[in-house]
Amino acid sequence: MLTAIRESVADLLANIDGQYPRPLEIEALWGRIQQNKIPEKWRRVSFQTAYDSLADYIVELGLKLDFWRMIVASDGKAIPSYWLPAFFDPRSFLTALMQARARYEEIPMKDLRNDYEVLESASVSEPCKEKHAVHLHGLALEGADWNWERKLVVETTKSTRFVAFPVVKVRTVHLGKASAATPLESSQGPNAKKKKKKQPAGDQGTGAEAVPGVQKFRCPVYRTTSRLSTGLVAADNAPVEYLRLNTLERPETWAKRAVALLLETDRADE
Amino acid sequence: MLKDQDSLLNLFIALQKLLNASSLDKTVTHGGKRYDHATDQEILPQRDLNDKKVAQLAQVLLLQLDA
Repeated sequence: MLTAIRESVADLLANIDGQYPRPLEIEALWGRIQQNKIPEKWRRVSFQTAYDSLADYIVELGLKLDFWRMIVASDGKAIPSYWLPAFFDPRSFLTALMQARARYEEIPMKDLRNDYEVLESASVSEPCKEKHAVHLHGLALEGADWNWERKLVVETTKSTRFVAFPVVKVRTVHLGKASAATPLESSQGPNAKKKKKKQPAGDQGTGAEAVPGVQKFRCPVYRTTSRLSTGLVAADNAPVEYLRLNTLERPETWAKRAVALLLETDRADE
Repeated sequence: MLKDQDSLLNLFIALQKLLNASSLDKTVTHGGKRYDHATDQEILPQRDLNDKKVAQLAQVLLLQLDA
């Protein structure tokens, strides 16, 4: 990605100096930049984004680079929280967490899964003290609001399209052990009945405290506001993950409203 | 990041402004009036000047990308 941008800038420099033999190609690329559009050459190798504006894209790129500089500076030490949107493929990062434990304990990955727990705060200052667990941040909820105290998906009263979402603790657990430890399994609602029969990986409870009448909404996590309209082949065209969020409403209510967690929001709505 | 003069965003914004009056301006590229038809106007020396500025900015941008 950076190589492509670098090449474009180097080509521009060569073209300005009169060295470049294909000025029209360069003009087309920099013409896009003049119009505040992302050049196709960059988009082909870029992280997935719904942004069209070059300015939004550059800001996002800068934030991602800052995060990776911080990771490099941390020199392999645990950091308080991982900014999930920074990853080129967030799903791979979540799989890598399971891989790490599988290698550490020399067990097959199919015996492991990631459990998610929504915390109370928007940021954390300390790395996760639990073994095989990390904090994630950078999620935003679209279509509903989040009750930070009760950890519930609730009706939104705000005029904004997106609301900030707290830090999520992701913990890699053994499949057998996790079923006993899964918090808050609701017996109400058709959604809950289905889950009792079979629980796919990454479909675990995310709330910690017991709230009477609570149900689980299986909330998809998408990378961008384009959601699944990414043009990718079917196998890759799936949400990054599903988080089971507590709600007092029927889960279908949120599903019909297409409530989802997003890793990239429209900058104007932030 | 946005407050930084040499941030990627600020450098690209500066480039966008300069490109409008540089040799990469599409309107002069395709009209056949790049040099011969504008020798009596100030646009040519201004374009040369902007080309130099674009080159300088591109150098800074390369340094930023390499950092």
